[in-house]
Amino acid sequence: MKTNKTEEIVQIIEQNKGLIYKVVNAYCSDVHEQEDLTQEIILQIIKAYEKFDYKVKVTTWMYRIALNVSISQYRKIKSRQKYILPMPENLVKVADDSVCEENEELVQLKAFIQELPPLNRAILIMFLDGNNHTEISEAVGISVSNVGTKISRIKQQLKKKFNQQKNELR
Amino acid sequence: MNLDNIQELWKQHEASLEANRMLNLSLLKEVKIDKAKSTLSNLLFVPVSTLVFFIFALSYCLYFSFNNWGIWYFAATGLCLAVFSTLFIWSSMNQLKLILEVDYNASVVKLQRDISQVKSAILTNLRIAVWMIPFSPLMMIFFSKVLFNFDMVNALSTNMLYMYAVMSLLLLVVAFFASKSIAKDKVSSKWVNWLLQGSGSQVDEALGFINQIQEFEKEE
Repeated sequence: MKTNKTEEIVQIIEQNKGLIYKVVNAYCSDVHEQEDLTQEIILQIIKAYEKFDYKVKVTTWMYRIALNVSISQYRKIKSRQKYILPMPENLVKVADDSVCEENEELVQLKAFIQELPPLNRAILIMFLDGNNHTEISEAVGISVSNVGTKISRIKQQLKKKFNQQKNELR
Repeated sequence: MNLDNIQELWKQHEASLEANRMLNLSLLKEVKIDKAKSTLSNLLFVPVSTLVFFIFALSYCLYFSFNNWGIWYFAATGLCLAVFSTLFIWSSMNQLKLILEVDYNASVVKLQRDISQVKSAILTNLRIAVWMIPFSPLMMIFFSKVLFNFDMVNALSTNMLYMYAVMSLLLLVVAFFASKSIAKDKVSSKWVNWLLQGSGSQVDEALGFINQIQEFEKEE
């Protein structure tokens, strides 16, 4: 890849690294696995950038790659040791999130996300990040109306779950 | 919790994630992407080796048939094995095409379906192998000639040859039911798992995920 293209994509990754971290965190809980997964996503983003035609927003394209790599990794988590990534060590450093104190509601939300099937999880993450239905539809590959239906269903489930937990605490 | 504030809550999560993660950009610029091995390249070994093996097998079977053209049963066994070799070549080429077409730029649903199809493509090889079972007496004739230069048909009695023919017909029934049990959407039989040498659960998972994707795509 030419140097200016590399500079470009590195800048794009830097600007949108939060997107990658959130997707990784939603599909992978182990800190070391998160580092490996983040590296794999970055590798695929850099590789795919040559073919990127700007027909969709850069962030939508990045979601596609991050979600695709994460869901694939999630599915073959047992054979993860077979992954070969000749990337430099310490490219990504992840601190253990468990040591940070978190809002109770955020903990509940993260737990809910972990319970969702991988494809619904992708929709919820993009929705929470403020993407509109069209952007979610372009990244996930289902119709806009289907995205709307799924979001309202996930929200209903989420509301039910939170109410249930609230009642249990009383 | 008020669901209207959920996106605000999620922003807090982003801030905490960014605070705990460090991306070394100077190292990122040094990454030699061309040398990085894709995770998908691990999947290439089986179809490539199958393709190479059966191209050699096809050439030899055709050579054997033409070399023994005067003796009909040798020519027939060679041609029969050439047909199966061609089917394996076709199947391997399809698998290679599927793997090489996997594109992370594609939408989530498309790419996940493509990867699942790559993983379950081994079932086609298994079906071809199952349909080879009824032809095992022909293979015995072929291999005894190739390995020991022994003409089995000439050496065996007519009754024995009839017995082989009946055996082939019975095996045809076995192959029919075995092929039916290797369903397109489920691999639950223990013997199919055994034949897949432990990768049965992986194939089953892939088929299960294809079904999940189909459900997910349905307009509700």
